[in-house]
Amino acid sequence: MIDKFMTFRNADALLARDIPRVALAALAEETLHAVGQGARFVAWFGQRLPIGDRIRVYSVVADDAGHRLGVMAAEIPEKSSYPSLAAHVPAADRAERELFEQFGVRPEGHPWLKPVRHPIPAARLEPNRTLGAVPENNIGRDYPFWRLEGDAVHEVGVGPIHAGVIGPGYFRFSCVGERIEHLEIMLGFEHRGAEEMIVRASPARLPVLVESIAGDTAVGYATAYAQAIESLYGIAISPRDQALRAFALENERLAYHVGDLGALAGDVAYWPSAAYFGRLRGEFLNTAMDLGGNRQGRYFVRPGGVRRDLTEVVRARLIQRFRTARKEILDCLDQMFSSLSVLSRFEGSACVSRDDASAFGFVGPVARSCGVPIDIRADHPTGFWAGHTVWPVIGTEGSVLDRANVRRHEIESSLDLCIGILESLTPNDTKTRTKIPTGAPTNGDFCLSLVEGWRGQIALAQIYDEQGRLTRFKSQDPSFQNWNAMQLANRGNAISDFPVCNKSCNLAYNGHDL
Amino acid sequence: MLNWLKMRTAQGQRTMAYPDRPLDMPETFLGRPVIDAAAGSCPPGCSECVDSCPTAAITLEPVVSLDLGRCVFCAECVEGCPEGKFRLTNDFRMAGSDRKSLVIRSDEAPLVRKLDDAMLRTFGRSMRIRHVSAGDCGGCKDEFNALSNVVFDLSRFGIGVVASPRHADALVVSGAIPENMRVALEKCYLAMPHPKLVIALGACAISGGPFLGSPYCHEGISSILPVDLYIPGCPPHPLTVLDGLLRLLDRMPAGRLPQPRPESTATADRMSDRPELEGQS
Repeated sequence: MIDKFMTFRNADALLARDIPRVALAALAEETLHAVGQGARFVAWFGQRLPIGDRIRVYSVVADDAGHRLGVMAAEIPEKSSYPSLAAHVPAADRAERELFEQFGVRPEGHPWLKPVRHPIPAARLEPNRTLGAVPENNIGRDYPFWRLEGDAVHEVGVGPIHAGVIGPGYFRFSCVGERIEHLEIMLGFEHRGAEEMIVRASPARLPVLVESIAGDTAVGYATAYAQAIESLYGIAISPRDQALRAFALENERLAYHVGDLGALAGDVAYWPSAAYFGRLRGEFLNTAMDLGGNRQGRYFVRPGGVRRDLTEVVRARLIQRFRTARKEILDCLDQMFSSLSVLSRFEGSACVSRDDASAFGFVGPVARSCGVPIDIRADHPTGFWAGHTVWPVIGTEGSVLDRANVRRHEIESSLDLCIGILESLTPNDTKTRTKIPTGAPTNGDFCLSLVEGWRGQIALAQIYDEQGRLTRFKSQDPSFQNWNAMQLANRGNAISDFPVCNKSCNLAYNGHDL
Repeated sequence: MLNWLKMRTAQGQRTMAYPDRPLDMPETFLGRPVIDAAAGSCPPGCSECVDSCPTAAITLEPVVSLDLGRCVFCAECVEGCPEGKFRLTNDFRMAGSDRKSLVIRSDEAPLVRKLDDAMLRTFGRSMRIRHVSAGDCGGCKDEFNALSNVVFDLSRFGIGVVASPRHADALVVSGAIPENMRVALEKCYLAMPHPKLVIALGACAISGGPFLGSPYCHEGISSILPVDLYIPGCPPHPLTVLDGLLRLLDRMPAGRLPQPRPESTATADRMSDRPELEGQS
């Protein structure tokens, strides 16, 4: 199904010149064809070439069951156009809009060609300006919101500052009575220019910026970056480093899944679970601190290995902590999921259909909860996962309850995985952190690296020029695909159920906005 | 119900006794950096620490100094310096009232000035916070959220988080302040009643942090609004925030205060007042 593409495995180092090149319309056609045959749309992104204002567009698709990825490219002048993919493959919606916003490549016939991030440079501020004055080019000016007409329709606008301690985004609900007919989400408020900053960054700052794309998935991003660099330089890391990375990744998943179940409980005023899960989440943040000194898991995973080893004293402390936490969490889960007041709010709320999940290319727990069994750890395993089987946890209906259940069962399996890793480490293992040589990558100049973060598939592409300088860094957070799920799930839902839908997805603003 | 009561009994009281009682911070925490003046002097031409620092927090002239407002506490300088000049302690207390006081040259914690008497009468026993995430990677907001859990339990000090800026006494800002959030942030500040405070949370909001120099961001919240308290960290540990807030509100027991700086008014531009540090670069 993807044989016309150049096929490769997750995080393989490739040579960009070997990637087949076709005309842009043909690239769209081949992508359509592959998706029609069952391939998954992964990415569609551009790269500015150094000569003659030319853009190279890459299309990446996946044959998940075959554990293979495929890439193909087109080279075009700026401001080219082509027949839109999204008209047939909704999964390409945001990627095509992004390509248009970043490089002016126009998808003709795109059904929803709106801004993605409205990148607006920060001008020097006048010292005596009027606070709160709205500039001409402010984000969201004249944003073409989709409007529902009719006497009975009312609109509710929320944001960019929301009621809680949470990222910024503008949500507009079109309602008839209590029922949401349509929700449109406008993002871009957190645009910091992460991709551009990374390309320009010093070697010291680069990995820190990668971790800051979505700092709540610092381990996931750092792992995706590290495995790409190791592949590009042909470096193998020790099994102990691999195991510690996998442990850190599962620990991050635990921290956020546990925290999100607590937040879900809080939203339906079920305080015992909110309080216990809020406290238990801290066990995993403190574990991240015990690994690398930082509660968010930053500065731990680096190309060549992990920065700190686990001492026997800390390992013993963590085994004890995980065993205790396991019992407490399982008890708390049983209680929460047998409470009728919780179930009645979660069941059948804010459903995502399996067809929509496949068509829109949703990833992570949002996709799994409606029966799409995509999990990068199982489909495109690297490092530790290459030697370990993961069974994706799936749901059926795609409701808030399914998403909560997927997290519940993933908590159980991640706890067991973490305890297993801790118990398997012995003081005699050698942990070696390999130094990455300076200079150009030796094994290729193009690498696409996927990692299953707690929200789903993190995709990072790195492309180097002939001098070995990083010239393009493309980052795709799982939320980039999944924000469309939030828009769809709320249709037909009561507006009062919006908070539980939102928490059950817990998408990233920063990861999307870059 | 019976099961919950059983679990409740098993869980017990989880709120920490700090600050009423001292706290044993785990040795693994990477906290307030210390520059060891007694360590060997820098080899000629050496800039390992500067090169290893991701956020340009370290300067060598006139003496080796480190800006807590830029520091992300990654400890790369500890590994980078051949003379072992840098060390990261597990001290979480490093909030400061003055931007310049965040620049350290030895083993020193910045100073938090308590609010004046009139402000303390207003906020001392009850303060409401509106948090705004402006280009926050998620780290600062999640750690700020953790302050409200049962372990740190911010509400026991009369401090709480509110949804409306109209109800807020203090604006806590985290993130690299993208232009796309600037107007919303300013409007939020304007909507707050007087008197009001602004608190910069984390390296990005203080200085831009990893995003220092981004063409889409302003350099820290102080380039937009007057700041009353800076809380360093990437992200700040919840206890770093708690310590800063309690010192601001004059609620921290004397025994829990950090050692004052060798000279509490020392600032980066008053080097001549500190002859004891001259000639050590």
